[in-house]
Amino acid sequence: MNGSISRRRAIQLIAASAGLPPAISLWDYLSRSKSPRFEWQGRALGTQASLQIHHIDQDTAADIVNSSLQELDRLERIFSLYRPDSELVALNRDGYLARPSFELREVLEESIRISELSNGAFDVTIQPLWGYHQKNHEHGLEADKSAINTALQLVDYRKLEISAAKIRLPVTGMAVTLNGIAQGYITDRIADLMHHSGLDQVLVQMGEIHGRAPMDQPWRIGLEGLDNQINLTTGAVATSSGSGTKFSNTANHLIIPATGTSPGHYKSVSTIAARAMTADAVSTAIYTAPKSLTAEIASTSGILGYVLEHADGRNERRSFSS
Amino acid sequence: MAFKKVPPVQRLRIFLALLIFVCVAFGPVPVHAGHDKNLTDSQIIAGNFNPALFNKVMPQATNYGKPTGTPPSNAAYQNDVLTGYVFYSKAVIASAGYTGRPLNILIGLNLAGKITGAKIIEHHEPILEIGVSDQDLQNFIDQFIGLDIRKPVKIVRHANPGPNEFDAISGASVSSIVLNDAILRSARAIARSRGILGEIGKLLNFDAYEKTTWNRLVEDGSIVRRLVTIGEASRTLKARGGSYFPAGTPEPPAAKPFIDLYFGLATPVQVSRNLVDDQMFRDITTKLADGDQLLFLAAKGIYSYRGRNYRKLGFFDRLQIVQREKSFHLTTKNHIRIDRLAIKGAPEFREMSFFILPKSSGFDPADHWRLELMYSGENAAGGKAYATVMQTFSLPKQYFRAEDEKVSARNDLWLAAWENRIADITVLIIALTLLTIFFFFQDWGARHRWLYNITRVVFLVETLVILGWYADAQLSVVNVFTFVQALLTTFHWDFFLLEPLIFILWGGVALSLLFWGRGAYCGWLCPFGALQELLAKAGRLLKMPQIKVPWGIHERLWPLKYVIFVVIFAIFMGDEDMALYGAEIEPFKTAIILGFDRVWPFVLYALALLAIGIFIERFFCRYICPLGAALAIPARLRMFEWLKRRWQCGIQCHICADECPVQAIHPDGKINPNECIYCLECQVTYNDDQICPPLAEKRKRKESRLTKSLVNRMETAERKGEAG
Repeated sequence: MNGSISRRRAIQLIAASAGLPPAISLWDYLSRSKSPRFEWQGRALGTQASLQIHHIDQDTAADIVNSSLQELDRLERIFSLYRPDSELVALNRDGYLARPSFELREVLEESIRISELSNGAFDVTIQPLWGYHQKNHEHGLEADKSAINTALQLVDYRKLEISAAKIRLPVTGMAVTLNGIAQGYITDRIADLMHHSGLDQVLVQMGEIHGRAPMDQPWRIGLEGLDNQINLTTGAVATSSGSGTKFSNTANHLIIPATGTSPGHYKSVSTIAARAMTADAVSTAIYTAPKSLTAEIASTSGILGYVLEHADGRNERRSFSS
Repeated sequence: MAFKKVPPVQRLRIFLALLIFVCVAFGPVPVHAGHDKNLTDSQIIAGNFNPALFNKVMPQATNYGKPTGTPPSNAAYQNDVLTGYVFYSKAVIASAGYTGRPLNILIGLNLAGKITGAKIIEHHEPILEIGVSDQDLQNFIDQFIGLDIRKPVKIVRHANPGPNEFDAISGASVSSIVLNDAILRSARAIARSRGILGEIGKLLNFDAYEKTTWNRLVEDGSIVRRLVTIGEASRTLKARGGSYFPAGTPEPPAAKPFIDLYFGLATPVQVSRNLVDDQMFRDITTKLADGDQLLFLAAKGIYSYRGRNYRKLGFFDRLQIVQREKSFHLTTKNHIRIDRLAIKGAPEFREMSFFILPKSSGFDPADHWRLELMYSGENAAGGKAYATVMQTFSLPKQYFRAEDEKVSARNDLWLAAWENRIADITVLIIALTLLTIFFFFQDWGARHRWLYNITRVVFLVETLVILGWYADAQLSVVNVFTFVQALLTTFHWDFFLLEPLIFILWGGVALSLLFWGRGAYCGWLCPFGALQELLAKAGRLLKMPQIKVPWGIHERLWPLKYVIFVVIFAIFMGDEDMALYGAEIEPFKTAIILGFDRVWPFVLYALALLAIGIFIERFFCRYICPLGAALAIPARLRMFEWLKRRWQCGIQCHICADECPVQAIHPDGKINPNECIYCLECQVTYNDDQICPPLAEKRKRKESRLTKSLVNRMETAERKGEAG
């Protein structure tokens, strides 16, 4: 599966850079910045990423950006699908991983939680099917119904065995992708690290957005199609949108594990949560789950709010008090 | 000495102009184009993976690894055996270019700590210098091959350098210093981070011991503390959908410690020997291999960092050490349980441990790292919610050797440059002082032709031989560009301070421009000017015919140098490197810096100019010199008009104009300050009552009056005598 994650994320990103949510309203944070803003832009996890921090001292700011990038490098060695030395690649290759890092355990545990409450609409073991689509897509082949079914047989998060000693995929051919959640986790970790370094204004955009700001000066995140912006003091926004990769007429990169097709009831789903990891996974879960499950997933997952963009263009916004 | 009376309005204008000029010339102008811009990718990863190129700096290697580590380097293998590292300096030390522009050198370093090769990948160096070729830079860098990076290097300015002395690039001693710094500093950083030569052991001072108390160790940063209260842990988990305490069980008081962690690096004897008793200290010393590191960790509270299962698991699943992009897992094999602390004042702990980090793990004790402790609670779905505590540890100052502290601050670079050239600096300052004194007493000096003649020749010889050929203190139009460029990008004093003689000269020139115009430099301090004038003087002694350029042609040739200056400047704005070639129109490098030791076309050009100069004095200065043009422009601001004229000058008499070596005196008698080299020849004539006609006439009248009165007196006396 080498290379597939970068392709997928890159494609998603092209969509995002074409104005899809979430985007930060530029003038907004320019006008608020009293201390110098320091920004890094580059690539992370195969997608465009940026870090913006406010700090008086340039050198300190550069140090913090550097240590954040090192953290990114470290976490890519755990979660990346395309780094041959990553834990995830080893897990998919061998079917088990001894002495897993607690980062991997944490992300898998959170995945399973979201899987449970979305009735399997979010499932990290989707990788065999996703890999099949990806291969077809690259070779320009039509998807074959029976092959899809074979791949679908391998998809079941309940079979994942997680313990401190090891992680195991009990069925040969099972594989995990953390594309729908690890990006959020990395975003959280880097935001935490920056916060730990003493920064009170942090906005990390690494696929997902995680921001921390003083209460009186919240970040404002603009979402496409919405007049209102989301004020973010501590928390994260993630958006799932089906306009990324299209594998076929019925499947984009967000696939319903039960059917192997992509749903069409929402154009996009944005969620706001305390952690980007949760926001990331829940937005995917709401997007792929049946519409009837939206309210339940939202209320039980512990997110702070959501913005739904319906297929008819209508926007629906809701917030929950935590 | 006479200040010309200046009307008030003009005085104000001069003052303002002066103010602006001084601000421009000496103020660190806050132009920050591109300064607080983004960190670009190139600052993170510089250079490409290019084995063919790598082989040029590490010839013995057969294959290379992809760039890894911090700072990044490529492992070089000889038949799959690690033999050294190849790295880009830019990726190691944030690009230490000369005017703050990128400098990138590919460097090979073997496991013995010796440089195997270095190659310049990118530079914009020569801008303050006088046209230095890439080959010059590369030749300089080649001197580093085989250098043991632990040894200090001295950059010297003579052809036969001693051990660990490198011959600086002619006319580019600044670049030499910068390149030296970039190579050594990045190589040492790589050596340190890769554990080459036990460099770490050399830099760190882990052997000192003095009996101390627990509180002192905490105060001096040897041991750091992180307290997590039950309330904090509980809140964090709750925000993640989990709960540490199963529903229904009573929660302990929120202010009590969930875990109160104390930890630090225990490799320093000061820490380990103080913490435990002698018996245990001996035990751990025997367990530690050379280069292994020891961590200390102790905690109290309701949460255990060891957990229940560590023996079964073989590792500590709740702990990890993170250093830059590396995670270090702690295994039971490397765990040493501490039962009792021997140090005075230690709190009661629930658990205490030493952990060994083997040398092979790549952990760098000098670099900062953090401890991460994971804890978890049940979530509603029957799964787990996780949270992480992190706390950073930075090795306190006292564990570094003193000399490592001063490694490489950029300021030291220029201080070293000044120390290095203290003799040259003294000579230059003496010369400038003498010249200033002579200028201040120029009226008196000009009244004594013999004194003036001797002073002039002696000074010119000094300028040529000492300032020029010996000290390389030849300004160039390139310096003007550098200055402008620095103003346009980021102005740093240290770039200019790196070259002390040029710096002092420029300071002197800036002031003398304001006082007297360009002449003070062109006529007295420019080595090439001195060479031309001395040759012309010799030519006249040998009765060489002197050509006087007809005024009409002469005047129309003046603008040529301005055109040349503007053209080179225009080139410079587009392509700086190209402008350096353009600056070769100055023969300074050939004649002064390199002492004619150069390929023949350059030598021929310089000699041709000098030859013409014998017949048309200072031919180059008059019509070609772009530096002279550059100086003439701000020189319009000058404050003093100390060159004296009479009303008869130009009307009745043209002697000075004829004598002027550069024909700077208009037929109407006015001295053109843009052309004047301030040689004071006209002032000597002005004071010479044998030559200057109005003065001579006055003298004659006086003489005849004297004669008359003498005659009268004699006649009177005679008459008196007759009468008597």
